[in-house]
Amino acid sequence: MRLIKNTWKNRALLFMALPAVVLFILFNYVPMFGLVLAFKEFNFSKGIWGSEWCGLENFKYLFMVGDTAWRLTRNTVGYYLLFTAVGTVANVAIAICINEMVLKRAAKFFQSCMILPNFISYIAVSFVVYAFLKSDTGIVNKLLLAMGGSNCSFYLDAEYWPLILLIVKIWKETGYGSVLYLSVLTGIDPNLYEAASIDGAGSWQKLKYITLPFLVPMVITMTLLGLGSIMHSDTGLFYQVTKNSGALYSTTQVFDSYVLNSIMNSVNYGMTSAVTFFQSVVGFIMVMVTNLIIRRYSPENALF
Amino acid sequence: MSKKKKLGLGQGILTACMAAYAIICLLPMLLIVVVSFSSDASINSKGFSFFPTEWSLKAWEYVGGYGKQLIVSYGVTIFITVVGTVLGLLVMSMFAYTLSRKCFELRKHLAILMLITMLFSGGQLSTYLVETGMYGMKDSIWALILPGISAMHIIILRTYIQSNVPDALIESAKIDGAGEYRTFWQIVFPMMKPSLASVGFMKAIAIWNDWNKAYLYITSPNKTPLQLLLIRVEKNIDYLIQNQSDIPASEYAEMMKTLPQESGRMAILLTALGPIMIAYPFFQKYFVKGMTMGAVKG
Repeated sequence: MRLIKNTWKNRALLFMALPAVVLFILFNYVPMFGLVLAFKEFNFSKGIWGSEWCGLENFKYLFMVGDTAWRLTRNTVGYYLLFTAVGTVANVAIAICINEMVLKRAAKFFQSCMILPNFISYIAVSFVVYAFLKSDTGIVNKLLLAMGGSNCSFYLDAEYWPLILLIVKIWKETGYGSVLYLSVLTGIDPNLYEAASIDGAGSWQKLKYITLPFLVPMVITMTLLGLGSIMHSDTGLFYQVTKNSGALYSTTQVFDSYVLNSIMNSVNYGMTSAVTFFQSVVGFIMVMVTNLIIRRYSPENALF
Repeated sequence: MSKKKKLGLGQGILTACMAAYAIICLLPMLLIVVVSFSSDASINSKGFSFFPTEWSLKAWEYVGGYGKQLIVSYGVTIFITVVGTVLGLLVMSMFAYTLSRKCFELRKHLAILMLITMLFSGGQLSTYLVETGMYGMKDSIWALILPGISAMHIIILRTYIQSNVPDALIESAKIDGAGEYRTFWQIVFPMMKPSLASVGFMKAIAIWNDWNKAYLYITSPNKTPLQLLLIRVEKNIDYLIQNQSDIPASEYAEMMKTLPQESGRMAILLTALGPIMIAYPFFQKYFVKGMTMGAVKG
């Protein structure tokens, strides 16, 4: 009752909140209920709500037939771990290097160059990667030939792609990723370093005992925040850069690119709906668990 | 950091390494430019290279001569970027403002409504089926504009209001007789400028670079944004001339033979990337700010 009264009193505020509420309901909440499709047999003419129920049929296909579920989970989580581990090290390393540079102007300019790839769409990136990897005329193949190697059809050979995708990802995101760590580094009191120098510490010791400990909380925070998206991947990287090449699926297909592919080809909606359901639920559990962990160790960073 | 560090050997190596990495970050951009000015014969014989054996303007002639679709796509991209960003900022800043008002009790419920969207999502398939099946957004430009508010951005805006607009200021505006709308538009909104700039640029770049939505929803050429145009061109370079009905069939076949394949693609890519490259130095600082704003959550 009091709530209603208060809301009526502040109805102007309610009106201001309304557009966002409507958008949230239309584009976030209604699709959430659309997940029931995982338990239905999709029929194009009847739509999500009109299709017949079919129990766990879709899940049976997903988990019993073939290795789709295992492959997608392994690739998604595997790349997530790989990107997080290497990405964090690269971000921290670049931040420390830029911070250590004496020529501040040059450092600033270099940093700008490093951030630039972050603003280029993955479509553009896929053009460039193609120029490097194309068989016969790609730059990498020309180099291989020049060094006496043989031509390699990268778009047909799955084994190289974890490395290729890692390089592309690091190239694109490290500059921007280091910004946050750099902002921590510039906040460290210079007197600390001076005191350490007077006590006879070398630059290696200063790095180990002053710089790195200051960065640890930020590293933990960023890693924990990222855990929530463990089931999601950038389709730009996994769908566009790989040119959605079927020969590469074993090492490159992740949940999001699988779903995108089946929507584009309008095939197998049953299994796809089971995949998205699985992805959403596991993603949700991951966020909840992560938040519990964050709340215990650093409550100020908790989401709720 | 010791105040006076010498420019010794260590610094030299460090600077050289950083310079090398910065160059590596820029090289792909240079490659796009070089290839767009190379002749296709050179690419076919020598491969993609920073040093082509033969330069050529053919790719740019192609883009210049048949660039009608490029202009249309530019228009679409600029339209969705501007409208999407402005609408998104309006809706999100109003919502953030109501979340920041302590006298508004419903705000707690609204915050929960927003948080749930960060925790749980319907996924691509169900979103696609709902938007095309129920809202009829297949091949509609609104599919690219409307679903454009994010909880993360709202949190950045709300935090900014809470830490930069004192409650006393809002109270005094109230006492002077300003209603909620007036308080928001004339006092709070102008004070939010730095956060609006950061969120706005993040949003604008996200819309400009988004291809996924367009790829799923858009089918007709006159609604094709730049990123989707790039996807189409990647598949077949003649996409630009396909939609020009004034070219006779015989001439069309002749043209197909001489189309600059690889260099043409890169030239189209460069025209699509151009504005971001040019505007980059101006908006870069807003991203750096936005990144640190987002990390310090209230």
